[in-house]
Amino acid sequence: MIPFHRKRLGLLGFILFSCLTNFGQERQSYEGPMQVGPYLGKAQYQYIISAQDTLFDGAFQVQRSSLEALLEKEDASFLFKGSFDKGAPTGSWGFQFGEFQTDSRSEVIDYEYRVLISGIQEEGTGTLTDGRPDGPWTYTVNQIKDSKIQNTLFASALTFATGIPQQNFRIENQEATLVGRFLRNGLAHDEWTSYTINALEDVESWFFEEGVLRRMVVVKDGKSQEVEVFTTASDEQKVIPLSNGYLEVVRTTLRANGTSMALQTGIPDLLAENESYYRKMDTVLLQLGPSNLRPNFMVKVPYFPMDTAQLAQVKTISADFLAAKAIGSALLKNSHLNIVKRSDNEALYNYNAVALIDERFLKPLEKFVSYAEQDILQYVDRSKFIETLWPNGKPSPELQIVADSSGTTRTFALADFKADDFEANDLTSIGRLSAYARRGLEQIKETLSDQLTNEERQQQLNGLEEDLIALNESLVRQIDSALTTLPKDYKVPIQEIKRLADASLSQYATMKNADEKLSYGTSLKTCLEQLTQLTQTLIALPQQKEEIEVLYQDSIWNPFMATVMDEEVKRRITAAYFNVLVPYFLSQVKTELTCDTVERLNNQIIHTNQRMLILREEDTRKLERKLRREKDAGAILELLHRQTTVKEK
Amino acid sequence: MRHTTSIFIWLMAFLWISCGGAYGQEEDKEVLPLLSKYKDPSTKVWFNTYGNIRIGKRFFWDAQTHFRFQETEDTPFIGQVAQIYNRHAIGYIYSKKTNFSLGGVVRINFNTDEDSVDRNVVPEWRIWHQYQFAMPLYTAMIYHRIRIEHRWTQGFAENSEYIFRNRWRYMFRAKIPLNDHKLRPKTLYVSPEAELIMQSGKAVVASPMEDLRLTTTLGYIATPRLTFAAGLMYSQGQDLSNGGIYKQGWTMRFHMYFSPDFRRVKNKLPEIHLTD
Repeated sequence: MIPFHRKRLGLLGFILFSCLTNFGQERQSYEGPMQVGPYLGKAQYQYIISAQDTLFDGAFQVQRSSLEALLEKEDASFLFKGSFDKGAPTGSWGFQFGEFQTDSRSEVIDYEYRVLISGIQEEGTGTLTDGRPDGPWTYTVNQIKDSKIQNTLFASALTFATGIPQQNFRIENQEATLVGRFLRNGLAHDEWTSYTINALEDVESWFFEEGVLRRMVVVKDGKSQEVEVFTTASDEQKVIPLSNGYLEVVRTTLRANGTSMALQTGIPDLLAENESYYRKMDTVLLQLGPSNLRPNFMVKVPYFPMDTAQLAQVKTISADFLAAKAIGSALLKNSHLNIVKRSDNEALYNYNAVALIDERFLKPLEKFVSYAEQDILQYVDRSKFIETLWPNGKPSPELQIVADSSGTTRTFALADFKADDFEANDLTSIGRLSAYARRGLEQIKETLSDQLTNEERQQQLNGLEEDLIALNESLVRQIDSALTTLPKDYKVPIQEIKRLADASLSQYATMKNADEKLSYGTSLKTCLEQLTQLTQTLIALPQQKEEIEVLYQDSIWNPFMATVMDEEVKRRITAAYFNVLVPYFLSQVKTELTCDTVERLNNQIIHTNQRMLILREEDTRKLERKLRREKDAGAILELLHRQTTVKEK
Repeated sequence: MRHTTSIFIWLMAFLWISCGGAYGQEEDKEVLPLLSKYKDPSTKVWFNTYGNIRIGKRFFWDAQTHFRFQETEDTPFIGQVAQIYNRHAIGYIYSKKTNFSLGGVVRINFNTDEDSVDRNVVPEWRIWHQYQFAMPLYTAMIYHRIRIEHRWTQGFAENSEYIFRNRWRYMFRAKIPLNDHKLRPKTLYVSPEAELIMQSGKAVVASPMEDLRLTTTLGYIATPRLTFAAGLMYSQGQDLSNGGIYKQGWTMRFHMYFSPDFRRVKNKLPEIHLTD
């Protein structure tokens, strides 16, 4: 009955039972917390117990609003109010959804504190009969500013007769207004027109004949364009709801007709927006009882029925496609394969074959399968639809695959597939295509499995390789962005870092022995991490130099100018740093960089920068005297270091 | 502040005593011409060093040594040494923009008149005090300098007696950076200056305006502690013996300004927070 609510009602039932207030058909009230779908609020409702079921009966209300949340940041409020008749939503109903902020200004009016709010308020109201809309229904979305309606973002007005839309309707948002009408049975009829708000001349009209969309007329910038949609009168026809699936059918029909005009956004957008608001209300109502709070616009489409054999074919196609897609995606994303293909032409050939099958088979099939899932394959002319999926012609069963970096191609083919297997635009040929994709990819997976799985440590390697690729990518990204901002003399050293990373990865890829590979890969991971650190150190170096330059300045009052001036102090130390050490670091990175030296180089720079900060405060007269004639970077580094050890003693 | 006031009172008392002690001098009779007469300008070259040696948080030793050359009949242009000039004082830094000095001058005057049979060298003594104010103006600095000197001079003639005069000097000077937006190291600046020197004393009868000096100097701040400058000065002033006669001069001036600070590092700090 109300399954999601069973727990709470169970508890409630227990309480009621123990209170001996269970009086059968007599209406009772509940007041307390309640969860409706994602909405948790305070409920007040009446109910009856009938055949040990709790049925809503009478007034119902659940709501939430929090002043605390509003004042803190913002509040999402809601109010669902209506009534039930023995469990069925019946009578006048209202749904409110609000998202509000406040600037916390308050005023006191008639002994009430009022806080002005701004935000969005959605409200849908109308009458329900047994969960179905009956009579006029409106849904409006208002933008609220300081507790006043500032803008109406969306409004729709529909009329229903026990769930079936009737007469005229009107849907508008900020861009366009759509008006149209229905027959008594809910079928779209006559002209549906959408006017653009900002350009009144622009009009989009759909012409229905008892639910069949015959033609569309679009007037834009004074130019009128007309296209036919479902023209053939002899087609078998079927009534379906005006849903996204229907719009997809219209789209495909337009394409299959060879029309250049794409489906405009005006009418479909308005319809979809309206649909989404009704779905929002329906979702709430479905939690409480039987509900069909939908627009239920009905249309008629040509019907191309499928027999049992065809339905089975479609099922096989979907299954083949899903299996093929899973293998294809896994292989394309396989990090080991991505590395191996750098050095191994056989792997490259297989990888490219997967990529080609993905591109030429799976991508078009994906759309076919999505139609099958939406259950709209029988509403489109399938042969025309299939033709549109391969605008450049279907692939041949003999695929030409690029097999090495110079562009040489090799042929990929499967036994039992003939050249004309894919020719026809029917389900059989699509079935062959999907079978080809599945078997082709399975075969490639089999071929690659030696390379991909025959080592026990494959899993380990995979994780490692993913790390390696991620590390390398982030390193390259940092270097590329730094190259645009760093001074000229940093560019060669920093590119050297990139080159080393790339060369090491290539070497890793060429390794065959899994043991060697694992140990080399592990050390390469450390190396890439250290290279990243070194890159960051180098990127930070220009600014650190500036900081050191500022640090080694004293403010001096010049009596002749009566002005305070900056004086460089400890010039021998700063000169050694700027003129000898920094260029030395850069040239070391340029010439000495290997995975073995990278950590030492990085630490050297970091430690030297730290020493420079410390030396500013220390008595360095001795050091400065020694630096006087020293031009050798190694000796200077040693002198800076010695100053520490002396101090430490 | 109290410190400044007491120095000032002390100074005033000293002035009072020294003025009262001035004595008269016999004068030659001079007749004022009907129209003022300008002598031909003489050319001079001055090499000046200005030392400003910090000796405490608020005190400095002002040490200036000038070598002044003057053209003569035999040695035109640079000429021969006319004066060696030693000016010293203890300065007090009231604020970054204001300072005062009090000290003495010994000037050695050389007789540049080659025909003279008188003494070649005579000393001259001064007591001086100075009040200097700086004002920033846009990128430039402007300086006002009031300098008061009490001066005892004597002629080159044998046994000539000292005469006492007071000098009242006001100088206006600007320093305008040329290649930077403020005065700091590695900056070239141009410095226009004008100084009016008035004098008084019993010997001063009709010639109160001793000198008017108009100078333009080009300077270079090498470091915060060392500055070089060179300029050209035009000057004119009344002859002491006859107020109707005006001397003129063109002087090339070369300056070196240095301000070492030999205090220990810990005493230097805080260097610029004088009023902390």
